[in-house]
Amino acid sequence: MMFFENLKMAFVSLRNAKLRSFLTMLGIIIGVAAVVSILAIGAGVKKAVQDQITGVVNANAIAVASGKINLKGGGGGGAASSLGASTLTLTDISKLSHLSHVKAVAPMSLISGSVANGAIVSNSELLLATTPPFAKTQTLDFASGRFLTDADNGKNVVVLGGSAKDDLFGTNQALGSTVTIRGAKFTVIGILQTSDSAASSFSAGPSLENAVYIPLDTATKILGNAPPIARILVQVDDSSNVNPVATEMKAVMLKNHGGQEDFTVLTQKDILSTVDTVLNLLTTFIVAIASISLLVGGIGIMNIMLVSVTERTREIGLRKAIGASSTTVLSQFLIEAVVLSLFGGALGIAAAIGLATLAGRLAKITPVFTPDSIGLAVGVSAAVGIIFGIAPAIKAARKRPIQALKAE
Amino acid sequence: MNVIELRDIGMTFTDREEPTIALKNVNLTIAKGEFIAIIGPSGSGKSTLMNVLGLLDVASSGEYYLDDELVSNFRDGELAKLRREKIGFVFQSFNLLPRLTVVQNVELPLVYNGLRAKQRRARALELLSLVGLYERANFKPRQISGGQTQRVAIARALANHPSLILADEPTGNLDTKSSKAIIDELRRLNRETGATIVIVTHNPEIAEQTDRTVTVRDGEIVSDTATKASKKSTKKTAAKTAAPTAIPDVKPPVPGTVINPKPRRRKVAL
Repeated sequence: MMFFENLKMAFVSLRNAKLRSFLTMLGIIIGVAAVVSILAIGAGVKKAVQDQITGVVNANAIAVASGKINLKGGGGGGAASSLGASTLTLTDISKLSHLSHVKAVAPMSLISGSVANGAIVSNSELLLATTPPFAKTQTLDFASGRFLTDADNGKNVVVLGGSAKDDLFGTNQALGSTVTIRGAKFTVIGILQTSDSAASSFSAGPSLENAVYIPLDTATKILGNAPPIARILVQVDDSSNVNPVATEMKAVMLKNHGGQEDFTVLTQKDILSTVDTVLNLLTTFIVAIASISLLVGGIGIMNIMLVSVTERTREIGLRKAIGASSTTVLSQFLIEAVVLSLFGGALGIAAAIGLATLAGRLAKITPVFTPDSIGLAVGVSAAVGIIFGIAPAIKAARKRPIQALKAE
Repeated sequence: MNVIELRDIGMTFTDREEPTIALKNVNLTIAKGEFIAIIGPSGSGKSTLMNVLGLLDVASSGEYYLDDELVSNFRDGELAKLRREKIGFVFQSFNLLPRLTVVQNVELPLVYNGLRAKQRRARALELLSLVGLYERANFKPRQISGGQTQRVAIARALANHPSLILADEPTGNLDTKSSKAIIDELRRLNRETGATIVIVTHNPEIAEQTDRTVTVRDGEIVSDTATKASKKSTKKTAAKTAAPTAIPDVKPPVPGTVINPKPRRRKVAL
């Protein structure tokens, strides 16, 4: 009986003190809305980045980079390899291509130089030298023409990325035309679709779909010697074989390099875990901001509770004088605090969904709401509301009725 | 039958800078149906005495019998029950809850006594009729005058048929006219319902209107005399005719009708 009476009394009290109830709830609403929306946007950004990486890096791919890269530390290769020196050799490639489950192995060399169509020069894109199997290690969409074949080895042919084609030819016909690379004439045999993908394949940097490709043999001919191999790209028949093949590759490479681990075998998982370390930093940062919002909201709740403490102390004194027991009074105050916290929390979640969706639409991110973030926000706000709502009430209820009644 | 019997009540405040003796060796007996004033200058200990009588504070020593029951060593929860069932308070500063309506304020002691909503509302309206404020039931305390507010407080004090009504300077915040009305009201309730009423005041004029005056000075009772008013009063008859429950149950007013047993009183209220 008393519980329902208390519940009713709490509601009457909340309704009669509209401003106080509203201000208390506002603190909770702000706290919850800020935390939930910030965390949702943060999770959305993280997911978008992950999706882009998993979209670009196909799950069956393995890459070998020159130099020892410490993945756990957040990446970063050896100084020499980052400047262009390479420990990877053509022997590595031929050895790797004999492993079982390996469908394709291709080297990737960076060539310095620009591509020109008469007076028009494009040097914004990567100029890469590779071999025909490269096409099997990457998902390349052709606008027209084809990729390099074995028959092209040593010939002056070129595959243009979408943006290079746009730079050099605009909307004109490019297939079959001639471009100049380091003084030599090259025939355009294929053009890739323009890609707006931000992240590239296994190396961070410009997208491979916008790069310009020439045969490795041709590059050797023009340069006078074999260019350093920046990456070896390997395609495995099935994603379940990626880990065993990667282990085997490491063993083969180690043997080939005389036991010196001057290379790094990278799988999609490694790339993701590297990116994850960065994203986790981002998450920590977001949680820090969210905690500040929660603190601000909490202080708001606390203030309004403390401001009304004198009024409430006298009220408790009076209620006790006319026969309420301490327990009855306290349970009424507890119910008030819980009701406010729950209402505030619910409104805060609603506000957060609205805010995050709006922000997400503006920033082209889909916010991700996790039960964790909602639980955290509502939990902390409710705890602050309840503690600061009930603590002065406990203090007041412990006093002799006459002391509480005479409170100033 | 005695409503109150105090034996050697002493009160020392130890939570102050210097321990203060507020009451010493107070012996006092109040019979059922009495209309009595406790009078004394400020600082005399009369308020402390009233707080002890009302179980708002616990005496440091001595024995307190309320309705022949020793209550001086009761615990918090038991004291709350006694306050709820046996005592009605009227305070100088009225102490209505400002956010509740007049009728909700009167209902409050009934809530704590476990009455259902319907019974509560009926009883509260009946009490408001008794003090002539039925038509103010849904007003907020700030919308009515001081005199009316104090009458609401009196209605609230009567709610649970208390054995004892304690009024601490009930006219302290009122003008002369309203003061007289409140004292008349208390006198009338005492006569008509047989309620035992104790008024604490520093004002001898108010004390004169009661039947008995107990004077407190420096924490001690220095005199206990029957006042002139008692000779004219019908105290004995009132005590005899008093119902077992202090307040006879008046028929609940018909909703919509204005019940005003003493319309004259309305003019007094400012």
